[in-house]
Amino acid sequence: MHFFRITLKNSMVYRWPILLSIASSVLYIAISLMLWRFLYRETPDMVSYMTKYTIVSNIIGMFYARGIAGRIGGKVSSGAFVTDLIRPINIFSMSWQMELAGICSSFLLSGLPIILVYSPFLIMNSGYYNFPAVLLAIILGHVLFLLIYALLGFSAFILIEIWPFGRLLDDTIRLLAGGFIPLAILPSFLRTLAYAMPFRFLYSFPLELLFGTADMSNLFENFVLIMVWICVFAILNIVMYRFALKKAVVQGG
Amino acid sequence: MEFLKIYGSYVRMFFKARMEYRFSFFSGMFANFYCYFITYTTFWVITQQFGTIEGWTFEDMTILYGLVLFTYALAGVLFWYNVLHLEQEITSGRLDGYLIRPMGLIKQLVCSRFGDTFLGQILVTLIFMIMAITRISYQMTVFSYIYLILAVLGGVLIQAGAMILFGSLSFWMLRSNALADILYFDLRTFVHYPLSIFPPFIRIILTYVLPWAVINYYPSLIILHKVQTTEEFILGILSPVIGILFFLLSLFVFNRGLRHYSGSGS
Repeated sequence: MHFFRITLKNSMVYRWPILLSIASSVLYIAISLMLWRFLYRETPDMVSYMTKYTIVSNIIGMFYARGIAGRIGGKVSSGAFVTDLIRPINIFSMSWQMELAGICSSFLLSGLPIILVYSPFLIMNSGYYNFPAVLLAIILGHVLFLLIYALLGFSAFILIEIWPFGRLLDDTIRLLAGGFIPLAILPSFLRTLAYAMPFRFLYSFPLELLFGTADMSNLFENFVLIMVWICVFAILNIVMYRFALKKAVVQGG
Repeated sequence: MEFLKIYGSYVRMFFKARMEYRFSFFSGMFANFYCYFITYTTFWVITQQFGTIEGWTFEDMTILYGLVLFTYALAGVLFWYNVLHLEQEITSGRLDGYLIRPMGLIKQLVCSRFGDTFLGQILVTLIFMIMAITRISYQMTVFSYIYLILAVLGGVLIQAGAMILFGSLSFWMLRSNALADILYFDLRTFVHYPLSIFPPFIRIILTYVLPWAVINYYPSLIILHKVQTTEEFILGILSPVIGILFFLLSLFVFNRGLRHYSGSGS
């Protein structure tokens, strides 16, 4: 909890950058909305769907913290990882708490203003379903996202510089998770690729559930699949962590 | 000429140092290549789904986006790391060290870091632009090619000017990156698409307040024979001149800021 509180306080120190980042998020959504409104100008139903899709996907994106890769990777490359080994908390839990605090501050400072600014659009284009399932999907998506990026952080032992791989991951998620472009719009080969990867569970799955377009007969199967992906990445993280401990050489007396 | 020699030495040293970590160097370049490849793929997906965006095909969109990306990458090689991110030099106190050396501050900042990661961007943009130009070659004349080179030069000057301008705001504000994020990066996102699909006030802001549309939109209208008004033609033709003026303005602001600068603290 202490890490959580400290990170929350730190994130609120510089107020101007916070205000500008709110404006930036609002503007980013506005650009996307204008684009979809133009593209679907002849089908009002699709304009309505894409309006809420864009706003909600941006809000969901706040629950996914990519900073854990930098936190862990930074400690690995600076050597601070070694001093964390003597602390009574492991590096993953510590980084996760910090990320959770980051998510809370980001939601309070950026998410709430976005909801406030775009609430008329969200209310106008109502039609929301399956709230408990959506909440569960977002929580599981958060864990999955965290594990993927934590693995990237630990891979700094092998890769040294991880930012290029973080960027590869970000961009793959950008295209194949359905955060900007719904998967239904993708050409079939890209859609097949998206369905073979875990990223669709981050955006596309909760959004389809929320807007009632998900195939409910596959609901249980999809939740099992997310759990399987979470297990896969959890195991990979454990393997990588053990490998890191074996590889680490501590200098000094 | 003297500066080019010095810059060449810095670049050589930079590459020698980077080549010690070849994997990191090439993975960084590849990451940038991949990032913009995905962006082009997004345009392709949208144009596949909707046919065109206000009459702009995928090839047209490639030229529109390519101009903004290519000029950004060329300017970024020189100015992105330490000029646009001048706040890091100021808040870390490193800037004071530059000020006691016998070379202009901007020149030193440019020399201090070569933007190697932009090389991937340049490569991916060139591939897509050449592919697009080959496909629309029926529209290209000798004038188009000459104009394209001038438009790229104008665009580079505007992008470089923007990096200098927003970086120099750190002299007054200490931290200006957040402002650059919204006024430069976010607002520039509009010009990735034809401006005619957005409300008219956006076109006015991006033409007369922050000239990001002059980087690519008006030049693309001329290259792709899409000009409809005299205003569009004049802005397109004058884009290299606007680039020079904007660059000079940014240098003026930078020098004013430097005169105002009195250290970042104790």
